[in-house]
Amino acid sequence: MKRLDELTQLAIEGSLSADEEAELERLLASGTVVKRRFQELIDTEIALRGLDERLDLSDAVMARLSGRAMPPLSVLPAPPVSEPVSKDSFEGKVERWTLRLIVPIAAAAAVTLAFALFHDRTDFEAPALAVTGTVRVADESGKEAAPDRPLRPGDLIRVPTGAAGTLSYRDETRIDLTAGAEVRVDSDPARGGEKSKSLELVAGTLAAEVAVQPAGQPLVVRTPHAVAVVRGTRFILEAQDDRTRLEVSEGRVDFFAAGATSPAVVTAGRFAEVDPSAGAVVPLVRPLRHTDGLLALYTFEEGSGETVHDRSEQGDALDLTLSGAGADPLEWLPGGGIRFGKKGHLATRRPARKIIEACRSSDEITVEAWVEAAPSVASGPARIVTLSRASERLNFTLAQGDSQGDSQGDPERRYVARLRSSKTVADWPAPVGSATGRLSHLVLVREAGGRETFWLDGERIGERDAGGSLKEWFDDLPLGIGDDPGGENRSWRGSCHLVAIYRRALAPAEVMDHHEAGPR
Amino acid sequence: MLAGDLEAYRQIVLRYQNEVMRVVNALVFDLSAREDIVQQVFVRAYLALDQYEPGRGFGKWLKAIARNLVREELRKTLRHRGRVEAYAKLALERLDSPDDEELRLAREQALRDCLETLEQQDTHAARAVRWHYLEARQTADIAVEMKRSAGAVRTLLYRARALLRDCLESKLASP
Repeated sequence: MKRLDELTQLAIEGSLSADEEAELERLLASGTVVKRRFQELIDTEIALRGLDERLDLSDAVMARLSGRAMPPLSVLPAPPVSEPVSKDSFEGKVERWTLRLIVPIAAAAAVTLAFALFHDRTDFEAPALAVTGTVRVADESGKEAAPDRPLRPGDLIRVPTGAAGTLSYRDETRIDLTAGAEVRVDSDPARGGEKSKSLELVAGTLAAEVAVQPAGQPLVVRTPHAVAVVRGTRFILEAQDDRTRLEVSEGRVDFFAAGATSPAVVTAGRFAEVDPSAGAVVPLVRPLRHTDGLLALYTFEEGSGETVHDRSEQGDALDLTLSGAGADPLEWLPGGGIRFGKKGHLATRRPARKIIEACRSSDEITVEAWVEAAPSVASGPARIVTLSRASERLNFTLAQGDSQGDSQGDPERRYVARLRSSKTVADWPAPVGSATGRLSHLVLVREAGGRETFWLDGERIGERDAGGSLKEWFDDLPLGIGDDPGGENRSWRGSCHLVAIYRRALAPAEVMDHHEAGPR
Repeated sequence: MLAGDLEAYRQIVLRYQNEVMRVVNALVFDLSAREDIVQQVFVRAYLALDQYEPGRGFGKWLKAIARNLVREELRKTLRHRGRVEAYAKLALERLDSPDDEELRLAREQALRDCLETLEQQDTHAARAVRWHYLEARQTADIAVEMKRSAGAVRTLLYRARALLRDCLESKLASP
């Protein structure tokens, strides 16, 4: 019996080998006592698995059916005609129950919808709107509403630059609308008869903190490209012209591309984007970037001008401005990023003290960049990201090409890291061929004590014990991208999509998260 | 009408989801796949409503769709994991048995009583059972929570199943 129990356990776990299954079959054929015990164990297992009734999947099913072709109502379960059902049987009870339920509900829903279309809605819970600045509300006909009028279904809220708004519901659900947001209240006709919350984010960004919603009544937020179904969580939804982005910081959101039947389940710490050009597919879910210890972040999304803003929101912003540009300055790339021309680079106007002081104190640093390599290097190592004024005064650099530059041919096709500690400032070259024209993720990490790791595209390509400390770093160096800010010609002509600097060593899992997250 | 029909169908889902889930849970090993399969059952049923024969139990019809979907899943599972025929074959037989509902309800009540007994006999095993079966947590996840190896958690579940079987059979055998 002991062996039977062991084999049954393996069968229950789904991990029985072919030999073990044959052995089990032999045992089961050996007698009724054995077979009966096997049946009892299976019955116990089925009963145990039947205890899991935690989920209400109706929202998910409804979301999957949204936009599907509609079968006629008459095909829903109808009274038994050809096969009378016993009044006492379970199925008979279900059949009668279903009929009693469906017919009135379907009729009531149709009546409610018709009523809602032509009359004021008595079942609509109007959120309260609190505003900072001048927020405009227009009704369904486009007519501007009085500022103190309660919100109605179909109202469109527009939040102009310099203003902000907050929608609040009785259950303490709160939705912050940032400048530029356009939100229509209760826009979902399919849910018109319910008291659930429904919004359309026409454009812009909202940040939501949603209380747990009643079963079957999730908060639904539509955008031009996507639908988010929420039962209680915190998230940020951004509707851009060409995509919708969802970031979840707590709980989970079911996120559908418009017209899709399967959602991406976006959980805390992850994001997804719906790109309508990709069609009605399940959006890819990726990790959010880690922000703990962030000192400076450049995403190159400005699209024009001569300034790249530090978007870390940590301490004083360390913005970069264009220097030394001639007739061929940097080129802004669609969707974010810059390509350096023949002349010109980006640098801070003042020493990058928030970086220098934080890293001296922590004895750690992470320097991260998403780049496409330059096709050639005139004078290497060409500075991609650098905290330096000429080679003699350098705290760190991520660069391309060896110091021999073009003279050695291949060496320009690799990335190089250099990090000053009290013990060393030696170059650390990645393998030849690492620098290519494709988008690459470069990360240099130093842990307290001097352990350094060099990462390329989510792979560890080198580790060393540099030792020493960062306490002797120069304290007056600017941060530069694309060349040395001190005037030494180390110009780099590649493309840059993201640069981030942290006061701490990112953990390997965090580096891999950032690689998976991509530059956006 | 669209809203009316969809809302009517929502009531169908709410009414039958636990029955469908029981079939899917009983047969599918991959905890993460179960929820999706249950959803697929209702989507597939909705799209095939014109094939439903009035008078045939709607729940039975849904469960037949569930079994078909589960068979597809088992075929996929077989490619990646061990043999499951012995278990699946008998589980399908037990789920199809004519007196299943009455017996199931009795077994479920007895099982809940047995779980309370197990709580007193072996707290760790009872906790592993609750997390694994009532909260659908993977053994690896339970192992982290309990600060034990995954093998130790499997042993706990093994012990718990045997104790529960004994308890269940004795309760069901008594008048």
